[in-house]
Amino acid sequence: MRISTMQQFNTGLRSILNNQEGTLKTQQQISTGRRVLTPADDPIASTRILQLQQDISLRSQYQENVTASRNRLTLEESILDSVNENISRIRELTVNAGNGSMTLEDRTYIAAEIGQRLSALTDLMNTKDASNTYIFSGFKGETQPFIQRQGGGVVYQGDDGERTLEISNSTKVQTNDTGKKLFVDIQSDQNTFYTRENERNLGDGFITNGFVSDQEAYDAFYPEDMVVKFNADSFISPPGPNYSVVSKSDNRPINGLTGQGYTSGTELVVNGVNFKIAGDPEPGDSFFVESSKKQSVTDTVSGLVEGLRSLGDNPEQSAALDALLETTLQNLDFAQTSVSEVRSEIGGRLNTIDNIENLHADVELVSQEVLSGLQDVDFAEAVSRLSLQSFLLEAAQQSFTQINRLSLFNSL
Amino acid sequence: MANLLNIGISGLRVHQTALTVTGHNIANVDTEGYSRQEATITNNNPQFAGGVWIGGGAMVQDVRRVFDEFLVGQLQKDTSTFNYFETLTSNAEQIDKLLADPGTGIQPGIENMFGAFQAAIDDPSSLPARQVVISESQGLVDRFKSIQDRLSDSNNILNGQLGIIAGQITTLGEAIAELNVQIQFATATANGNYPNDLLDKRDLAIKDLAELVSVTVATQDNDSINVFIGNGQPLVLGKDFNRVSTRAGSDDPTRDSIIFERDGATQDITQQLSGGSVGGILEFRKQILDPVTNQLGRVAIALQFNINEQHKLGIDLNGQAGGLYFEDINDPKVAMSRVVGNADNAQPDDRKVGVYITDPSELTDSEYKVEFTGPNNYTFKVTRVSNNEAVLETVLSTEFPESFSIEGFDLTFESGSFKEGDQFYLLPTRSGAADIELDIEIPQEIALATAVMTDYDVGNRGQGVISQGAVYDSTTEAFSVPGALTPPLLVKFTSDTTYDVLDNSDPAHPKQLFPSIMNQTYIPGVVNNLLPKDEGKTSISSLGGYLPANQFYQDYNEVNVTPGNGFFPARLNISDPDAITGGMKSRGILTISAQTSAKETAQILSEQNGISATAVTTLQLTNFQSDPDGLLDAHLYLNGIELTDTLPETQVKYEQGYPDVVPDPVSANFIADRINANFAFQGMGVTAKSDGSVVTITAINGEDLSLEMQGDNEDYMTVSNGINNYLTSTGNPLPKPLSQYDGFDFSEGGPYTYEFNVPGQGTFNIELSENYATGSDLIAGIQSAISSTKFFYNNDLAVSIDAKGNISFQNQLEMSPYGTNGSSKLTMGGQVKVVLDEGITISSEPPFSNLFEANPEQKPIYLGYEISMEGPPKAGDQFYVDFNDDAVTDNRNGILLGGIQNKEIVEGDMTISESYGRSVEEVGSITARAQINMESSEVLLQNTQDSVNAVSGVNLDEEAAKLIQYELGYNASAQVISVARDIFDTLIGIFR
Repeated sequence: MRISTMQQFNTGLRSILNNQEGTLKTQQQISTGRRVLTPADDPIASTRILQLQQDISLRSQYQENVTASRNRLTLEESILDSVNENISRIRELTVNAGNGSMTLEDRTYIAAEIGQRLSALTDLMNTKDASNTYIFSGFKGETQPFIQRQGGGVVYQGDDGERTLEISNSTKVQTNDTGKKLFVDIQSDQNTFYTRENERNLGDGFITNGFVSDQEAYDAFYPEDMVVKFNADSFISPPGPNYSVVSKSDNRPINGLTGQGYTSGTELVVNGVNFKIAGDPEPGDSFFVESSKKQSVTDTVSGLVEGLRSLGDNPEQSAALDALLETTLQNLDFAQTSVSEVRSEIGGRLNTIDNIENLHADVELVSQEVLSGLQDVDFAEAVSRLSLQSFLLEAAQQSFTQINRLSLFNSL
Repeated sequence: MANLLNIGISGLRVHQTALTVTGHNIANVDTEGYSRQEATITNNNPQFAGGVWIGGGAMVQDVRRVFDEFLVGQLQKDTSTFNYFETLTSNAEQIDKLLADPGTGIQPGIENMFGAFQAAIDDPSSLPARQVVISESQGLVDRFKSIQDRLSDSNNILNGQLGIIAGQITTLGEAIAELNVQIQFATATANGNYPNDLLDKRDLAIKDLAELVSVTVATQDNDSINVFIGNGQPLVLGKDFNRVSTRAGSDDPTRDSIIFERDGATQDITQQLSGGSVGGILEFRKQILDPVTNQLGRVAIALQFNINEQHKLGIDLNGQAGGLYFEDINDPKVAMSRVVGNADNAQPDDRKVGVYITDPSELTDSEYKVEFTGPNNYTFKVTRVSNNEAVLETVLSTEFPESFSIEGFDLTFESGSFKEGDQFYLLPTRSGAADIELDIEIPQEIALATAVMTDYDVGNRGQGVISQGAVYDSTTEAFSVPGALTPPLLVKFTSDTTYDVLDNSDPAHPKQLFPSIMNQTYIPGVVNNLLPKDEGKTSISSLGGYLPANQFYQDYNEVNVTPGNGFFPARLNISDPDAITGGMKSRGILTISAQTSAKETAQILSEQNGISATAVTTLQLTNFQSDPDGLLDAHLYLNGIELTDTLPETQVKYEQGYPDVVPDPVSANFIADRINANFAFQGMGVTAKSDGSVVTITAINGEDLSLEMQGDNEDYMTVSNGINNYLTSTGNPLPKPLSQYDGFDFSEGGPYTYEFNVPGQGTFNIELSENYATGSDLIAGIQSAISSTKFFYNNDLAVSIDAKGNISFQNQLEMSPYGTNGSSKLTMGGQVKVVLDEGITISSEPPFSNLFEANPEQKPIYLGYEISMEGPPKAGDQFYVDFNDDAVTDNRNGILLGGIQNKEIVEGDMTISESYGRSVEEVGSITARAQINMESSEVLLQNTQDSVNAVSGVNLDEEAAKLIQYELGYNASAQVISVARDIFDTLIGIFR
C-alpha cells in the first residue's frame, strides 16, 4: 500500500494523542479516587451511585432524628424516675401518717413535708427541655402544663399532642408523653369528678376544684355530668345574676336547682359534690362538673394534705382519715402504675430506636461498600494501567521520531 | 540531425515539466485537500524517414491529479457524520458534568433542604432551625436557577453558533459557485484540460461544507457541480448560490431556526437538516437541552406545588394558616408565559391563552402544539410534540375563559379573536426552574403544625383512642375563620357502638351540624373514620315538620281519623352531569305525593342512584296548662298510645321505675320519662328529652308523630316543630347582651336592625326603635316587629331571648281539646336529609312548597379534615375536635412536608430525586452513546482520510525518487543535445 507523507505523520501523531488522552483520564481517576468521573463514563453505575448517595444522605438525616429522639426520651425517662421517687416518698409518708400514735400536730408536720414533695413533683411535671419548651405539655410547648388554678388545685393546660419523629422510612417514634396521660388521666379508687370552665365564657367567673363530700350520693348520680348555667338576669324576679344546675345529657334541672340567685363564692352541694363558683360570670356562661373515674396525682396529694391538716383525733375523724389514707395509697399506686407504664413504653421506644439505628448502620455500611465498588477506582489496576499507558505513549513518541527521521532527502 | 536536437529538447522540456510537477507536489506536501499531480509523458509521433519510422521524442500530454472520486465522496459523508457526533458529544459532555457535579447539581440542594426540615421537625419551636429551612430552601432555588441559567446560556451559545454556521454555509456556497465559474472557464480555455488545483479547492470547500451540514453533490455536464442541503434545497446551482440564515423560531422564539432563502422567498429548513455541526447542535437541542430543561422545570414545579399544597394545610408558629411557601406556580403571569403564540398568527395579536398546572404528577416533559385546524375559527387540535400524538381535538365555545384539561395542566383560553390557522406552542414545564421563587421570608411562618387537634374527656370510661386528626383541604368552611375551627366538634358516644358528631361552638349546648352527622355506627376493633370522606358529596334537607294553622278537632261521635302531616306534593328534578355535553342531564321527574311521611320520602330518594336520604321527626311540647276545676282529666296520646294512663302494678307497658303518678298539669319531665320508658316507643325509635319545661320528642326514622289530646277546653299546651329562627344583628351592636337587661330602650344609639332567614321564604329585616320598659314588653315588641314583616306563618310566634342575648322565635300552635269528650289532633311530619353524590343536583317544583325549597343550597358534607378512632368506647364518652391553639411544638405538618422528599410525585412513580436522577442518567447515556459514536465515526473518517491520502497524498520519498529520476532524464536529454551539437560540430569540422 502506498503511504503518503502526511498520513505517516498523522498516524504517528494520532497514536501519541490517543495515548495522551488515556493517560490523562487514568491520571484523573487516580487523583480523584473515582472511577466514574461523569455519568457518561458509566450511565448505569452513575444512576445507582446517585441512588446510593441519596439513600446514604437520607439515612444520615434519620440518624440525626435517632439521636434527637433518644435524647428526648432519655430526658423524659430520667424525669419520670424522679417523679416516681417523689411519689414513693409521699407514699411512705402517707403510711407513716396512718400510725395510730400520731396526733394531729404530728400529721401537720408530715403534711408540710408532703406539701414540699408536691411542689417538687409539680416542678418536675413542668420540666423544660434544652430548647426551653415544656416536655409534658403536648403540642403547647410554650404553655406551662401544670399551673395553680384560682381557688386551689393544679390544672393541666397542655393538650393531647403526641409528637413523633421519623427515624426510618416506615418507622415513626413518639418523642413525648403528655402530662394529661401521665399525671391526670390516672385511675381513681372512687368515682370522682373534675370541674372546668366553658372556654367560651365571657365573664371572669371560675369554679373551684371541689371534692366529693358524700361518696354514696355521688355514686348514685355517676356517670352523669352537671352543668352550672348562668341564665339571663330577667330569668328571675327581681332580675339579677342567677344560675341553674342541669344534667349535661338532657339539660334537665337537677334537684330543682333552677334560677338560683348568685353571689360570688357560693358553695354548691349537689349530689354529694361540693364546689364553689366565684368571680363575675356573665349570663350564658357555664361551668362543667364532669364525672370521672380518674384523679390527677396532684389532686390526690393535695386532698391528702388537706385531710392530714384538718382531720382531728376523735374517733369519727380518724375513721375518715383512715378511709382517706387508704384511698390515697390506692390512688398513689395507680399514679405510680401510670408513670411506670409510660416508662416501659419509653423503654420500648428506645429499643426500637436502637434497632433502627443498628439497621441504619448495617444498611449504610453495605451501601457505602456498593457505592465504593461502583464509584471508586481500583488503585492497583489504575496504577498498572497508567504505567502501561505511559509506556505506550513513550513508545509512540520514540517510534514517531525514529520513523520520521528516515527520508530519502537525507541522502540527496 | 535536427531530429536529434528536437528530441533532446523535447526530453529537456518533458523532464523540466515533470520536475516542476514534482516540485509542486513537494511544495504542497502539507496542503490540505491537495491531490498529488502527475505529468503524463507520451512519446511524440514518429516520422517516416529513410524508410523507417523514427521517433520524435517525448511530450507532456497532461498533468493530472491522482484522486478517487468515490473516496472523496465518502470522505465528505464521513466528515459530516464525525462532525455531527463531535458537536453532539462536546455539548452533551458539558450538561453531563453540570448535572452530576455536586457543586452545581440539584441533588445536594434537595438533600440539604429536607435535612433542614428534619431538624425543624425535631424542634418546631426553634427559630434558628426554621431559619435554616428557609436558607436551605433558598439554596435549592438558587441551584435550580443556576442550572437553568447554564442551560439557557448553552441555548444562547447554540443560537449564536447556528448563526455563524449559517453564514459559513452561505460563504462556502458562494465560494463553490465562484469555483464552478473558474473551473468551467479554465477547462474551456485549456481545451478540456482540467485545472487540478481549482478542482482540489472546490473539493476542499465541499468537505468544509460537509463539516457543517450533510450535503448532496451532483456533477453537471459542464464540469460544474450542484450542492444540495436538507431535503434537496439547492445551495449551489452551477454559478448560482442561495443564502442560509437564522432567525428566532416561529414555534418557540428562544430556539433559532435555520432559514433557506431563495428568490426572495424564505423556508424554515431546521427540521430537514441533518449531519455536520448543524445536525449535532439540533440533535443536542432535541435530545438533551429541551428534555433536560423541561424535566428540571417539572421537578421544580412538582416540588413547588407539593410543598405549597401541604404548607397551606398547616398552621404556623403564630397559629395562622400556612401561606405560600414558594411562589404560586399558577401566577397568571407565569401561566401566560407558558404559551407562545406563533409569529405568523393573524393580526390583531389579541389572544390570551394560559397554561395552569393542575397535577404535576401527570406532567410530561414534552411541549404541546395547539393548532386551529379549521374549517372554522373554533375547531382546534392539541398535539404532544415529543411523539406528535394528538391529545385533544375539540371546539371552542364562545364563552371565555374556557379551560381544557390536558396532561396535568389546564389550557385556558382567556380572550381574543381566535382564527383558523392560529398556532400556539405550549411549554408547561420549560421555565419551571427559572420561575421557582421562595415566597416565605419569616421563620415563624413555616407551617409545621396541623390546624386541628383532638382531645379526650378524662371522664371517659371506654378505651377508645382518637387520632390527632389530619387536614386535607383548608379551603372548606371549617377553616374559614383564621385561628379557629368553625365549628369545633364534639364526638359523643350515644352507645358503645353509635356516636353523634355535634357542633361544639357552645360546649354547654352542643347542637346538630348541618349536614348532620348523627347516629353513626362505630365498630370496635377496627379503625373508624368518624367524619365524612372527601367524595364530593353534598347535602340538602327538607324544610322540616309543617305546623298546621289549626289543630284537627274530632267530636267523640265521629269516625276516628288521623290528620295528615300537611306536606304539599312536590316534583323533584334530579340531574346528573353529562360527560358528553358537559351540561346537566335530568333523570326525569320524581313525584312525592301530598302528606308523604319523611320516612317514605327518604326511602323514595334513597332508591335513586347516588342518593341517600335519612329522616327524623321532631315535635316539641311546652307550656302545659290544666283547667283547675275541670270536669275531664286531660289525656294525651302519641301515635295512638296513651301517655297519661294510670296502670296497676302488674303493667307491662313501661319499664320499671316509670313515673306512675300522672301530674296535673302534665309536665315536660313526665312526658319524656313516660315515652322513654315505654316499650312500644322504644321499638319505634321514638325518644324524648326534657329540659324541665320543654319536651322534645324525636322519631329517628322520620315517621310522622301524631298527637291527640282530650280534656276540657281550659287544658292546653303549645306545640311546635322544634325549628328556631335566629335574628342576626345588621345594625349597631348593643352595649351589653340583651340577656343582661330587663327591657331595653331602642330609641337611643340605634339603628338596631336585624335580619332573619325563613327557609323557603327568604330573608327578612326588622328595626327596633322603641323603648321597652320590661322584659315582657321587649318580647312583645320584638314579636310584633317580626310579625309585621311579610313572611308567612301560621299560629303564634314565640320570641325568646337566650342567656347569651340571642333573639330567636318559633312558630307555635296552641292545642286545646275545646269540647266535651272530643279530641284535638295534630300530625307532625319530619325533616328529610339528603346526601347526593358528587355532581348530582336536585331542585323542587312547584315553588313555595312546604316540603323542599325550589333550589335548595347544596352544602358540601366534607369538612376538609379527617379524624379516626379505634378501641372500644363506652356510651357517654366524649371527644373534642378543635383548632390547634398555641401548638408551638406540633410537628405533624412538618413531618408531611418532610415526607415530600420520599413521595412519588413525578409521573406518578418517581420522587423528585429519582426524577432528577433519571434526567442525569438519560443525559449520561446519551452522552456515552454520542462519545462511542464519535469515536467510531472518527475511526471511519480516519480510515477514509487514510485511503484518500494513500491515493492522493504526496509521499516525499516518492517525490525524491522522482526528482532523481527526472533529473537523470533531464541530464541525459541535455547530453542528447550535446551529442547533437557534437555531431553538428564534427560535420562542420569536415568542411574546415
